[in-house]
Amino acid sequence: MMIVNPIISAGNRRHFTQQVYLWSLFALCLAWIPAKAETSAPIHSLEISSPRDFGIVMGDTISSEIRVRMDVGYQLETANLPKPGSAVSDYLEVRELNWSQQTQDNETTYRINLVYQVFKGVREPETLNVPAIALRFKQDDKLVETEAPAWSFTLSPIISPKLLDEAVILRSDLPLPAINKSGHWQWLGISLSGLIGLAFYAAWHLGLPPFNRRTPPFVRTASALKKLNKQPASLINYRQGIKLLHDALNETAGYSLFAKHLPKFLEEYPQLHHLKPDLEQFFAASNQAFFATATTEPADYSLTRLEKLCRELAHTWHKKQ
Amino acid sequence: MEPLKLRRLPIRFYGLSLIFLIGIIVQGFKLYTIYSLQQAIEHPNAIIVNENTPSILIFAKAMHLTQIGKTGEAIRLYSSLRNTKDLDLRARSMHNLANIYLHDGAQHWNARGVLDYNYVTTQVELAKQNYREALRINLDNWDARYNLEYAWRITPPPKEKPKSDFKGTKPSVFSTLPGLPGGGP
Repeated sequence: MMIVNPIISAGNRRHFTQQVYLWSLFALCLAWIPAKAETSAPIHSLEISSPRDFGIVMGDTISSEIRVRMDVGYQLETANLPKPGSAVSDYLEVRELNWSQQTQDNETTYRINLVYQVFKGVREPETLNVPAIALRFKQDDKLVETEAPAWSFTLSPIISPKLLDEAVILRSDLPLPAINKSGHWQWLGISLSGLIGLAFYAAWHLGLPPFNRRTPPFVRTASALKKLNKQPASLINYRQGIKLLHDALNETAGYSLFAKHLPKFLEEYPQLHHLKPDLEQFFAASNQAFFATATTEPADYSLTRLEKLCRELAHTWHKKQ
Repeated sequence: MEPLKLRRLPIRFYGLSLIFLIGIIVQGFKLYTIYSLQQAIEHPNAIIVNENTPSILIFAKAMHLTQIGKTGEAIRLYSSLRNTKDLDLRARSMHNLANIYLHDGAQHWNARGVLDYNYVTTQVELAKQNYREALRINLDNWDARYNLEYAWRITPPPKEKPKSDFKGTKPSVFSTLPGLPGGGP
């Protein structure tokens, strides 16, 4: 029978208790490790690339693309990303930030494009760092954090390193910006041309100078009557012909010329006086055509005769002019 | 006697006429404004700057003041263009403002060196800020890049901390207090 020393027994108990604590801690660690692994597992890969990391000088912009491939369902927390216009170091400012998300085959790819502007002067080429960027992705209450690693680029000087500070000649002030007037002149020219064109159109349309002199109303009407005469004879065409000659007479007189105004008209235009009987007959035929119940053109005053009168008027008018 | 009835013109004739007429008035007014501005720019000393003065005239006045050596007033005018909506003019103003600071800082640096440390540092830092602003707007401004690099070159190194004349190690502040003279009772 073994006598248990109370002191030894107490030590063993203490040892036992310690062991229990250690094992419990180990078990807790084991339980925690998969949890940690679960937190980082959603990210499959993280890459960072820059199209150029050399030949960069003061004021240049440098861009980088961060590509993160991860499980579907995680959303990028954009509030965590550096904002355009903010400084990420003493010499780097973020100019642009944009990102896109693409999901394919149970994998989401985030592309984060960052453009920085460099504001540092160096005397000799120097290697500078672009700091790491913390990235956070969230899915419901699960949060995954990672970091796009820092990367470096080479900054070169603009001013020759051999040039002493005292020998550097500063670039001068910028002049006033040129005021561009050509655009305004162009639009003014277009507007003026348009308005002049419209004025010519109106003059032509209304038979105003200079078009009325070049093509007297009787000449215009004579050619219109000739065209009308080639069409099959009908009362409509005949009435149209009479109306055309009325228009030409009105335009020449400057007022609506009726039969009762004929003596006054011939006083104003004595060169047409020898055509008085013809004009009187024309007004009579006009009355008949518009107010009588005729169905065809009258035999004694046809469209051909109307054209002939118009040509005679045009000829006399032209001779006088 | 009845008046001659004019043949009617189509409605689009009146519409087009109105458009062309408005075009002539607007473009004519703009050209008149430009010529007025050009007249004023040719005589910058006559420009009176107030809240209604166009930005381009303020710029012309500031340039003139710089040329005649009144840089203090020029700085005030260029600074007033810091928030102008015309980005090109803003970038030019910031560039010229930075040039004033940098010329001043460089002159002091070359003449007095570290004796004017605080003044040189202030002027050069102001120049750097304004060149940066100019380059944020227009990174093709190679003159600003060149001058900003020069500003970095002449930036005085940070001042060394003044050496402490405190000597010896003392466990507490009380040990530095005067005590009883040695050899006392």
